[in-house]
Amino acid sequence: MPKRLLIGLILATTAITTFAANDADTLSIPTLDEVIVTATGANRNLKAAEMGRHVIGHEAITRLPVLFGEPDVIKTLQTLPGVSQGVEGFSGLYVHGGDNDQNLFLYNGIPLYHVAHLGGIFSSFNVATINKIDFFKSAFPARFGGRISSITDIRMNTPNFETYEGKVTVGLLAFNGYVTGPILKDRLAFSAGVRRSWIDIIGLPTLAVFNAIRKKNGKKTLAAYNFMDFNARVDWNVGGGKIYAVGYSGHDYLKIGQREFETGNAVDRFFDENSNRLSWGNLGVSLNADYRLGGGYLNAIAYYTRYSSRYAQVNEHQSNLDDSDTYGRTYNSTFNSIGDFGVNARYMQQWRETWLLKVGAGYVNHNYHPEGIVNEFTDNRQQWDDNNGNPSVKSDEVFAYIDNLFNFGDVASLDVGLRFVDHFISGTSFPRLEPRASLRVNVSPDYSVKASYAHINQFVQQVSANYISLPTDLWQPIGAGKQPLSSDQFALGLYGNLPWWQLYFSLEGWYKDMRNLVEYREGISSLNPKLPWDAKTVTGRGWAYGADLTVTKEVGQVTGALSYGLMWNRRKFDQLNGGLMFPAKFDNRNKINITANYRLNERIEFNAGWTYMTGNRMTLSLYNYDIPGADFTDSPSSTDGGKWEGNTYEQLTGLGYISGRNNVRLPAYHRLDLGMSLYKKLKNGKRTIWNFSLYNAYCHLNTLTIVKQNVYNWNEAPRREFRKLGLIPVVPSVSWTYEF
Amino acid sequence: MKIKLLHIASSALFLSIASGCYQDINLDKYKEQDGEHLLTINSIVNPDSVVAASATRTYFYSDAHTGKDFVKDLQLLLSVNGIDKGPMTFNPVNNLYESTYKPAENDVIELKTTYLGQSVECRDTIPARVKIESIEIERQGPMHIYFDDDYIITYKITFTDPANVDNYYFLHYDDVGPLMGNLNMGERDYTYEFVFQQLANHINAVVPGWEPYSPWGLPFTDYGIDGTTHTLVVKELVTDYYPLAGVGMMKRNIKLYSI
Repeated sequence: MPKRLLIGLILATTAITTFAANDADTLSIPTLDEVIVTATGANRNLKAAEMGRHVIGHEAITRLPVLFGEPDVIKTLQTLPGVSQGVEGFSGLYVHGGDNDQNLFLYNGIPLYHVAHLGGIFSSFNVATINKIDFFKSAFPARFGGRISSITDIRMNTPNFETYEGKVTVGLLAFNGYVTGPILKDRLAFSAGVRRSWIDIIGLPTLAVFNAIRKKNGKKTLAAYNFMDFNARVDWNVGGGKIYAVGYSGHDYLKIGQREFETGNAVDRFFDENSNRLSWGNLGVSLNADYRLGGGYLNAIAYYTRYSSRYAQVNEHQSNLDDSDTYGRTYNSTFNSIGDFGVNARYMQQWRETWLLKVGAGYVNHNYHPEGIVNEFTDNRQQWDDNNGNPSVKSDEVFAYIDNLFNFGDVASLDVGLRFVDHFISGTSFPRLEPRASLRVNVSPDYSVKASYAHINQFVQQVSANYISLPTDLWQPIGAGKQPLSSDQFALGLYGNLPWWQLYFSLEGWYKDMRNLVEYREGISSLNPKLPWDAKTVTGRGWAYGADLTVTKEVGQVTGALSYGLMWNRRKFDQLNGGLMFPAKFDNRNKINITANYRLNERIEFNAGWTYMTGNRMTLSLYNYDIPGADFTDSPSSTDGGKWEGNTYEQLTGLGYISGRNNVRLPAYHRLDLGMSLYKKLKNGKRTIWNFSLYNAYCHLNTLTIVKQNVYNWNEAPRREFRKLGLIPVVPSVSWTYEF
Repeated sequence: MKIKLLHIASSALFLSIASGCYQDINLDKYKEQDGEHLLTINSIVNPDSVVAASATRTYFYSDAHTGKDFVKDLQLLLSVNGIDKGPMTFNPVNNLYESTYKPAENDVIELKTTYLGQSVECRDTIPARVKIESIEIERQGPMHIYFDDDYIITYKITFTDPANVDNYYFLHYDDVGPLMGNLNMGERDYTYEFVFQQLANHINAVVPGWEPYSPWGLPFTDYGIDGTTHTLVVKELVTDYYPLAGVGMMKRNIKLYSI
């Protein structure tokens, strides 16, 4: 794949308000799915039993230094302490030392498996449709399971039962529209959002100019990308509750390649085309019911979600366009999909202000195509294909949980829960108990101490053969002879209000132990159709520990947050790296995020964000070792001793020696983003917003990778160097939003 | 006009985000940690000659490196099938450690030495010889490929792969060398042969777009041909670029190794 991809980065930084919602506050609200925060973030930070929970409201997400006019959920989460962003330019959420596939994303209860468009420039979520995001990174409530590192619970806006409203945003690379309104006033209402990129349209002139220049060399660049997503919701108020349906659909398509052909007045016409094609997407639908039952609330949901991806390498060639016999085609592809059908119900009730009980149960059927491989070869003389039949694996999962929150006034609170899950696959059952607990003790009116523990199991993992995680990396269930991924996470923290400027802080230490992580074996070709998909991987362990500090100011004209994360992240696989422990790819020792938002007046708002992070780790051969060359004249690969005197390039330079996995740390990553929003109220009561932003304002080219290159400069002897590749310079952008 | 401005702005933005930048980076801090003072022993052992080996030091990629850094004072010991054959002698002419032993099929060859207090060993087994059972040659042309009077020579090389064992081979075909009146080797074409397409599939998993070609030969496995009598089909394109007048013969060497 060409090294240069058409990418950009959205920085989504925000003035994060870190607070933990006290579930007891929600019982005064008539609808279950809306958690309208009525207490301040500082209050929640101090008094809630939960740890490691960040609640981000709609306003906080939209007030971001945005790129291409698109605020982004994932980029917002990446600014939190304890969360690594992975590789710049690509989607990634690496929470407390975990991997990208260990994050559960729920879109109004629908699990989504890959949540990024275009490698993370745009997340899968249309922010215009989002009401609130609940992000958990340590103490996980018993109602959540299936992912060991984080839970992102995204709730959609409730449709407007009274009037029509909406917004349209036009950015440089995409269009975003959202509308909501009544179908039957006070009874039936809808909301819908759509986004569509137009990179493919706007990029056409640029590509045309580029290819016009290359045409004289007989080359043409092939590049196409587009994405689209659609969200919809219909709510029906009935009796003492509500029934609502939610739908989500998002899809990406990317093609990159090159075509070569005859030049000038060449008599013989030919073509040779190589391309890489990636496509991926989610589809999800759900039917929900909220109902007041007895003294509490009942919620039930039935959903279907499906994620699929395909990666294909295609070569087509014809050495003589006037002779069809010279046509040939090679096609290699991998296909992956997961389809889930699930139902679950939960009930919660509170007695006085002392005890909040939540219980629930559910069932999920998973249908995996963990690895469909197709290799085809065609030319006029022969045709063959080799594929693995796209095997299908089904599994069933049942779960039940109970969660008890005990409040002892301002003194203490205790949240104790237990989740039971049984996963059935290929004739094997994996019953598991997952205890959860968190405790808060107020040591003074302004300070509290908290502790938590969570045990979680995960029955699906995403395996990557690349340094960069691609959306087409394979989601795979538990393989034969393997155990589910599981983790235990402990956390201890100090929380409080500082006596200056209404600041509040949280300081959390955490430790996570992960078992049965999955990686590809060394030396395995992931495209080998003859090897079963679950025979290509090995399992191992991981350990991560560190501390997260956040100081937040959410009151006043200037708001913002400073966060610092310290982390160690290790892995050990008996069959990798010689069985020795090695640092994880995203072993980012220090991470600092500073975000600030300044509301000058009703019309002008500024925001800024600065990120610093110790570099990622990568595997790089630093030394070369010699291979046999012309000195062994009888060897098969000898340059035909006697006929040739010289050596091949590899025989002169040797091959790379790798001392261990992730042996090199990339340079530190840092970036400043600036943004300004101009609000204008129109005479008809509508509003427009112009947003201007500068991503990577001081143009620090952060290192994506390090490569080994021969460097040829005028008047110098050629030399070998290690070279770092940076991709994203300063990127200005502008967007226009119309709210109606 | 506004559309044009939008195009220009977007194009500029496009180019800015699509461009990348390489800069040198100094990684000398990893020298002590990562691979200094390593010894590499290379030995290509075959029944046609005595066992010989070279011993060289690794080098840091960005350091100046003008040639192999031979280690010339090792005590390099040879054993065959577990039987000690004694130390090998360093030959300063070819910088190889040489023995007097010529290996046979199925011999287990082991080399051992000590370097900077660490033991360095390597071991391998001589594979069974593979026999070329027949060679057929076809000629097509003259025809127009690059020039008007080009020829395609097809070589069909038949051999039998032992069953139920993973076997590896190496095919090399070439002219016999400088010889008056002999046609120089043309362009080799491996792409029509199944085993080399398998090789391409395997390599393409890591290096997309690789196609099988080499003037020095290519390896292949018995994947897809295990236990069968298989005919390798490879080609040579002889072009009219070098006039064929004065050429009276077309002697070729075809070597099939088991490795």
